[in-house]
Amino acid sequence: MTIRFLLYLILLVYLLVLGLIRFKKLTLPFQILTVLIACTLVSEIISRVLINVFKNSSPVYHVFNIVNFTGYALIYYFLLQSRLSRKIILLLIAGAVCFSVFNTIFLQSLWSFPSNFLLILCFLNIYCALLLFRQMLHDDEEIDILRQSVFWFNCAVLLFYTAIFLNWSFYNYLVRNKFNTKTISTIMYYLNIAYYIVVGISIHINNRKAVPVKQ
Amino acid sequence: MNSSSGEIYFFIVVGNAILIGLIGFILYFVFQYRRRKAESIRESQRLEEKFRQTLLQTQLEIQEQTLKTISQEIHDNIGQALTLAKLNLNTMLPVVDEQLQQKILNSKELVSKAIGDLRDLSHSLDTDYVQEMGLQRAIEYEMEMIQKAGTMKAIFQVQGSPYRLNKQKELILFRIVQEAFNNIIKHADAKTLKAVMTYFPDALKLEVSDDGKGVDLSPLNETAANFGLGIRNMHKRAQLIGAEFNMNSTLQAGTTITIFLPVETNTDDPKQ
Repeated sequence: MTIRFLLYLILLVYLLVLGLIRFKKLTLPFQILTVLIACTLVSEIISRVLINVFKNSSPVYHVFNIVNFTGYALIYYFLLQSRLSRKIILLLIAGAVCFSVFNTIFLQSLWSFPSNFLLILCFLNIYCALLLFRQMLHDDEEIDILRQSVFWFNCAVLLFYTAIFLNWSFYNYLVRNKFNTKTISTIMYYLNIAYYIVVGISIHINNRKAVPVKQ
Repeated sequence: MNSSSGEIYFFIVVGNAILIGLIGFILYFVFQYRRRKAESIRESQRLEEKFRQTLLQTQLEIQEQTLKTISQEIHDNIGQALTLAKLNLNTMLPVVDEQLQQKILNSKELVSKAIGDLRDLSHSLDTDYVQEMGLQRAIEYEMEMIQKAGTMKAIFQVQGSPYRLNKQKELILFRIVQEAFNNIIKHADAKTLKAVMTYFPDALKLEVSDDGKGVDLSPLNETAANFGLGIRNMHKRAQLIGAEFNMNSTLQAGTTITIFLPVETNTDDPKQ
């Protein structure tokens, strides 16, 4: 186990503990985020076990990506107030689950990484983050933008999933041309760490009383 | 440079450009968000101020209407009854009893005085009368009444070339001055009351001062708290017409109230 992976796990544990301590004070989207962090932690631990046993952790991601996708879709479902956006998100969840099954059976088997699905997840999150930014501009929120948990969460999602999307595209290119992909993997680790630090800030400042969310 | 490394550089440059673009977008968003928020705060403050002004305007209109009704009641009913009483006294046959005759004469004088006082009061309460007379004459009239009452010396001075203001503004200024006079009569224990009207080409300054006991204007002071409502009313009225209101007071040396109203030549009536 590398130090950076250990650091990553410690960060996830810290965020999970923080989320659980503040669980009652958190708004519903951030409660879902806390559950999602717990799922991420579990999936990372299982994937480490699978790597040690089968030298391949891909099966975990076939399941975890659906959970991840549904989790983020639900977070944005509760953050976005437009009825149309909410309906689209519900349809996307149903469509994504079907596609995931289709992808696992016909396109990327259980033992290969489900990158197709990950790219869809990236698209959904970027799309929702942009929608939320648009909504925030029209919101009548009195709290300063830098003290709003939703702003930090949304920034983290937008930047992280764009970077992940670009990295995966680059990764596929490097694999196809038989280049070394170690640098990309390292970048992804640090991106994950940076992402979860910002998510931690958003969990830390989120407060049910201060942030009204249509539930 | 071979084609593969060229493609790699292309990927890196494009990827970084997209990320930098996104960071720029977030910074722009923060800037826009804050700008909109500031605009929204300004707008809500403007609406609040407009609402407050409308509310105050309505309160003043109601107050003026009430004063007008009281004025009419005094003139039409009480005044009429007193006039009738005076007429009755005048038409009474001369009585032999000298003491009784003297009492009748005294009563006639008292009724005459009451009629005069009520007429003055009716005039000072009547909005139309004040507006017809004009601010300067109305203040002068008010001071004559105080002087007539004999409780204090009333000095009225006019500086500059007089001109008329918008009728609504004149009425509000008159009510402020009336409130100031009332405060002086009721609380100041003054020997002299002085009102100075200074006409500048672009502003009107009204100064009402007395040589009374003064008032401690610190907010915790009980006397100041008693004065509070009247002062707040004067202040609010001044705000309504865009005038500056200032009050200075020194204990045992008197109080001075200054109202400074910038005159807009477009909206105010032209010089007489």
